[in-house]
Amino acid sequence: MKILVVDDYATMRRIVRNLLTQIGYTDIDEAGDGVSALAKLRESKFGLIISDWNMEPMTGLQLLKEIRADSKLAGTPFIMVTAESKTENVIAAKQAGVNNYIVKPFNADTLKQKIQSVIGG
Amino acid sequence: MKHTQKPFMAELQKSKRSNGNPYTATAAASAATIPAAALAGPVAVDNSEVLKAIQEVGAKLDRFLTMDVQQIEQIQTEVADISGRIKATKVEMAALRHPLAGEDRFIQASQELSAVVSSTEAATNTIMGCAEELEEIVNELKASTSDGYQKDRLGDMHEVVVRIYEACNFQDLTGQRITKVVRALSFIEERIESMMNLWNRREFEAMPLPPSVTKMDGELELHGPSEEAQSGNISQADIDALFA
Repeated sequence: MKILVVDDYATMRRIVRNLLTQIGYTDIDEAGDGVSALAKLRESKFGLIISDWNMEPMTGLQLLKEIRADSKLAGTPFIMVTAESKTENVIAAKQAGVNNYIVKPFNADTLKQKIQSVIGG
Repeated sequence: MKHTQKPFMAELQKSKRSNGNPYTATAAASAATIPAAALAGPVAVDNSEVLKAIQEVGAKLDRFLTMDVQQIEQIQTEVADISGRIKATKVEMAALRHPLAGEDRFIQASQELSAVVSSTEAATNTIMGCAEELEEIVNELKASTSDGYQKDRLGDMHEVVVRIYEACNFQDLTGQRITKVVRALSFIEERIESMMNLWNRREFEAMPLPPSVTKMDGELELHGPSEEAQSGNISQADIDALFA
């Protein structure tokens, strides 16, 4: 399964990539913001998106809404990995169609658990 | 006391035509106009009512004037107080952002915080790089050893490497928190700028320069960590060259 990691912090993308590798996922691509993520999603098929929320020019929530509004991409599982932990934010993401939500900081076990709950297995 | 009325110019001219003394003529004329009753002596009049009324009016006026002065003094005190507070506020505003100050504290603070983000990002990347190398070594050793204990210990090391990756999360979070602080600083800076624009900016130039927040060691300024690229800084290579 190919996973797209979206975060404006290169270091954070590197952390997520390494943690994904540790838990057995090696086919990983990265995007630095919502716009480039959307472009990559339209170019090739991804089995999972792991995205930060707070990014410019397109936030993680906007990316999620774009994906859910696009008939070709709408079914792609989406996990939000963010420092935003306010209830209204989580609810807004859920209403927009996020499949799971991880608050930073997180560990490999949490990541593994959430991925499994989203894609099964 | 006898009072002689000064003659008018027309009377002087008339007197000159008749070659007479104008002062005598005027006095004579005046005497002719005084009523007979007046010439007979003073008349007794009861003016107590008038005096009483005047005293009452005077008392009222005194009360009014006394009260008014007190109010005016109070207003003057309040105006002086407000004026003092405005001046003190302006001095504080000037201390925050003096137009003639060599260093802008808000820009300085923002730059320092941005440097913190860059430094921690660089340090995190270094830690990550080291952890990745360590992981490679562990994997290599795991593949080349058949000893159960050693494999177990290498497995433990691998878990430690994962914990290092996890711990590196802090960089993103501190970065976001610092960005919030930078935004708050920017907001305060804008508000101070607006407040200063409400007054004449030149007023602030005349105010005392704020004391520097830079730590001093005698006459030397201690700036702490700073970017090498900043003016006035010297690289380790240049320092080495000085000691060579």
